[in-house]
Amino acid sequence: MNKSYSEFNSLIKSLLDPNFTADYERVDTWTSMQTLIVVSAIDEHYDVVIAYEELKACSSVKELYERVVSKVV
Amino acid sequence: MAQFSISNTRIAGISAALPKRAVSNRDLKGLSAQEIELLITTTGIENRRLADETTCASDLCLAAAEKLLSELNWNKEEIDVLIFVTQTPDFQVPGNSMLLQQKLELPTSCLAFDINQGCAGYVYGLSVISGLMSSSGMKKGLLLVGDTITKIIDKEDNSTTPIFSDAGSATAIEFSNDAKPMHFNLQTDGAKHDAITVEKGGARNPSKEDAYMTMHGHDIFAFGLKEVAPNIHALLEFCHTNKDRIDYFVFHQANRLLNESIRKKVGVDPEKVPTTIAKFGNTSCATIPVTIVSEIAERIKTKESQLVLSGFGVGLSWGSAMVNLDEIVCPELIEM
Repeated sequence: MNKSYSEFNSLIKSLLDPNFTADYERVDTWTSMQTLIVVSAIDEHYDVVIAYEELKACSSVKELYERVVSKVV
Repeated sequence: MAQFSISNTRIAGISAALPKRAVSNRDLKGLSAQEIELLITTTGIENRRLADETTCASDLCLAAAEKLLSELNWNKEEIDVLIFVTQTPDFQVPGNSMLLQQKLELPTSCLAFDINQGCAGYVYGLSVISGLMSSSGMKKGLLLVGDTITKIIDKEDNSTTPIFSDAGSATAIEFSNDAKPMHFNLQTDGAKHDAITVEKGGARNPSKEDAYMTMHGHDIFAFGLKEVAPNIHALLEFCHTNKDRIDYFVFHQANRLLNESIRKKVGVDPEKVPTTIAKFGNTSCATIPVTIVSEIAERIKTKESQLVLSGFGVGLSWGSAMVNLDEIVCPELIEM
């Protein structure tokens, strides 16, 4: 995978409406709909499907990025 | 591997019926205006159709079948088989197929049985009735596919209430030596059966109190992302064809975000993927025939068309079919 954490972070930030998320980098603040949007975008951009348990096990966007990187074939 | 072809049967007609009663997701209780907006943007579902207390899937399918048989001008005495696909039968016993054999005034020589299937049910049902007719030589058959799924949803559950609608459909199948083969690719993963369940009201948990459908939306979403497009690609490979030779891809109408992801993975333009998710929501097993009748009826009535159908959901079950529609009968959508 050649996308950096910075690009990943920008992608996530662009997906999440600040009206819903005070601190978008905290995964536990995402609503149910927002997690679907994020999972869909990760699949589209990284060809990785993140399960709900995997996403909820991440506390930050950085951790989520590392999880995605570990799943890239 | 359940990849197979069926010869000598063709779809002669498709009809569908919806309840007249429409409700808007903008009127949902317990959500803020912002949350509702995000829900509509993500799911794509603005309006849904709800059957009244006295209307069941059998009633919607009965109306669809009567209309279709009338327009086909079929003699009911000639119908050899009736299959009803539903998760919301009128009764535990007997099945809807027997009730409809009587209500449609079909002969007692007609074979009738039910299939308990969900959002993959149209594709599964089509494979069963076509395979049965092809191997037996039975001449005419009816596939009825419908659910009043909103009757088993907890109105307080905001993970299911904004998604589901009610609908019924009828598809007429006839034996024809000239028919182009139908092709199927069907799959199952029962290890994930708890992703969508109604745990109560069956023999395992007989209590009918709170016998509602529960859904783990994220698990279903991940399943759809992972499994549906590869299933369609495998079907196309099995058929020795490619996506450019397909006129329409009719997907189960799950939600906009998932369906758009699947469309992109399959690699087809939006013009080839008709949708009814905004106006009718997710009508369970009936979404595929409802979408065909609502969105592409004029085309398939007048011009031979090659379709890929893809259903996915409860089970987990998923499957796709490639079918040729050769100027079939397709009455206007019924609203009742």
